[in-house]
Amino acid sequence: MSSYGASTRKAVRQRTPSPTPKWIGRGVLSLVLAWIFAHFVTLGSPHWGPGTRHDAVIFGQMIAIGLFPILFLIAFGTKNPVRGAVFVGIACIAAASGLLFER
Amino acid sequence: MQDNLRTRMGWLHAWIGFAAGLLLFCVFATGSLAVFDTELTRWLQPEVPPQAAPFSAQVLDRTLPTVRDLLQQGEKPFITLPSMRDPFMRVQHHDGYEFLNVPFNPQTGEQIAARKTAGGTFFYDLHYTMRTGLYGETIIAVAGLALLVTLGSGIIIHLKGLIPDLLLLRPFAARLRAWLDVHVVAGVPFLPFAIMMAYTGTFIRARTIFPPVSYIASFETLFTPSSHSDVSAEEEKPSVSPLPSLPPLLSQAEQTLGDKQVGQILFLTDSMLFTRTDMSGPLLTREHVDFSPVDGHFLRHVLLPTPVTHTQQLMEGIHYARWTGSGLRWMYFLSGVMGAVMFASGSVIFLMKRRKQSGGRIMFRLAEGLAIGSIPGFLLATLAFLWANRLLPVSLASRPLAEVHSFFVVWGVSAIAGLLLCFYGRSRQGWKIELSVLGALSVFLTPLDLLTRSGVSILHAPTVFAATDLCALVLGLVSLQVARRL
Amino acid sequence: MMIFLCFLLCSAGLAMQALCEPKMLRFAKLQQSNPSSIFRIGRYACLLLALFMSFWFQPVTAIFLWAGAFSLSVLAVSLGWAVLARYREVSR
Repeated sequence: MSSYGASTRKAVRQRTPSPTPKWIGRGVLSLVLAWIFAHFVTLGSPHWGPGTRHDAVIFGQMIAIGLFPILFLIAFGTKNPVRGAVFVGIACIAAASGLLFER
Repeated sequence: MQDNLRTRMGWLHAWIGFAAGLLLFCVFATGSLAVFDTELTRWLQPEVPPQAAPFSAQVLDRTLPTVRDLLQQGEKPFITLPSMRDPFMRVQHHDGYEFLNVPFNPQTGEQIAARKTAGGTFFYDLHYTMRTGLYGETIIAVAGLALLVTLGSGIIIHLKGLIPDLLLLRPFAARLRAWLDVHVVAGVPFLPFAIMMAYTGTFIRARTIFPPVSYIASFETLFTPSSHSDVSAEEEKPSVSPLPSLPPLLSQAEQTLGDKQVGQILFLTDSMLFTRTDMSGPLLTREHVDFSPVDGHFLRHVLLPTPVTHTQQLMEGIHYARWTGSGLRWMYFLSGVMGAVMFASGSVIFLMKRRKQSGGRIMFRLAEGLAIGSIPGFLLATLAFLWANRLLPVSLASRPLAEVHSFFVVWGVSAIAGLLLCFYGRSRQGWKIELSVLGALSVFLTPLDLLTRSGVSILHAPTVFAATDLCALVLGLVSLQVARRL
Repeated sequence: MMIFLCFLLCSAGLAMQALCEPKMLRFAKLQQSNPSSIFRIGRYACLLLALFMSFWFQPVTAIFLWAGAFSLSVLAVSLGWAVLARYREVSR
């Protein structure tokens, strides 16, 4: 590749506007979705968790805290933001459906 | 900027890392100190000698007058029995922030005239509440989640260079490169520790951020007036009947918990709890045998045996590290220190990368001022706490509170000084001055200790005093070197 | 004692890893050649031996012990390597 091509590419890269505002929005959306998931898991855990209510809540909190960063990174990190949001949104619906269980 | 996974994660890592990092630096630093809270309390009470005679259970009753006094004041006192970490018997109570203690000779049962101090548990309280109660707990739990996200994004960014760059530290390279290397070396090898502590720590305080009820119900509870609020403190004070003799109860409790497995005796108005020592193993079971405070008859044996509670106890045990020996405790301490270094270096890199483009902006100056206040400023306040402990008059009323005030005054002053210097465009001087003062206070802690402790000798067995002084000396030398190279 | 032994073994393993890594050799200005098979095997063997010994002698705390020793060894070896690189740079 010629040096001219390389410098043009460099110049183009410099002119590309910073995607910071877009990423802030994405970060907020990811945070909200991951938080909703974690909240529903803890809220629903007495319905589906093992043992007594205390044990079930503890179990739910273990899962919520473990999955929160993973879902946050998935929602934020996917190339297509809609895909990440949809994936975590489905996880939220699954977590919310835990509230329907009756023991 | 290109939009690929690495840049996205880099952006997330930088901003969340910096936003939460200043707080997390304090959390890691106080956590490292809290690993040695018992030992620090011993440093903060130099009247208590380093060694003690073996414990005789027969002298337990000599602590009862102090226990009764505290019970009459409406406190919940407890006796901590001598252990490997602390050979003295102590009557303690929680004043809402710290565990205040009165030491007793473990063989004679005599009270040792030691200065009142906020003790090493000051750092423990600071570690998980920043001394602001439930609000602090909530903020730190959220910071714990931010730490998990920052670690996850950091791993993704650095995945390619994880093995080749694992050992690469170039302190004499260009400044940004050197700081990046410090950040990686302080972060990557200690990742298992950081992840473990972030996860277990956030889990321990999970009820503040993920309660098992809806947030609406939580808010309603928060604003509902408490039914106890109208009751005056005077009315709450219980009448305390004479307490039964403790040695026979201790031996009865040991029949259930095992020989020398009782660590604490907690006194409540309706029961006395003989609790398993936290040093018994990785599970922080808090198993206890209860007796009546009236006639000493057996009430119950409490142990939560389900698999979920065992997991919870294991997580708490791993996080608190009270079961470990001194070797593993030092590893926790050093790993915690490296966590603090990771956040400090990360914050420095964040500022360095943006200085050229945004150095003149008010937000940048604010961020740098906050970084100065949080990193050298916080350490300065810690040293001020140690200095205040030795310099404040022993007879001073509310001495523990005076120590705490010294800490916060110095922290506040250093934060304000940092902010002012940054707003006047003298951030470099801000870093230099605070690091130099920190270095001086740390280096001169050893002479201070030697001058203000009776029965001191240069050549003696390794003690908590020598270890604390040595750590301060190392901190001082590192601070002075960093100040020199800035 | 066990911690110290674990630390030594991990440090030895990591030093061998550094000797097998071209980037590390370049940094310390050491001659780059194909690393000896002793180093290539030794870097794993030392770490595994440390892990095995931890589990054998202190099964309850083995993981903590090994992970802690490994982390501290990385710190020690990287600091040592930085000093070596500096020394070789100055003495040239």
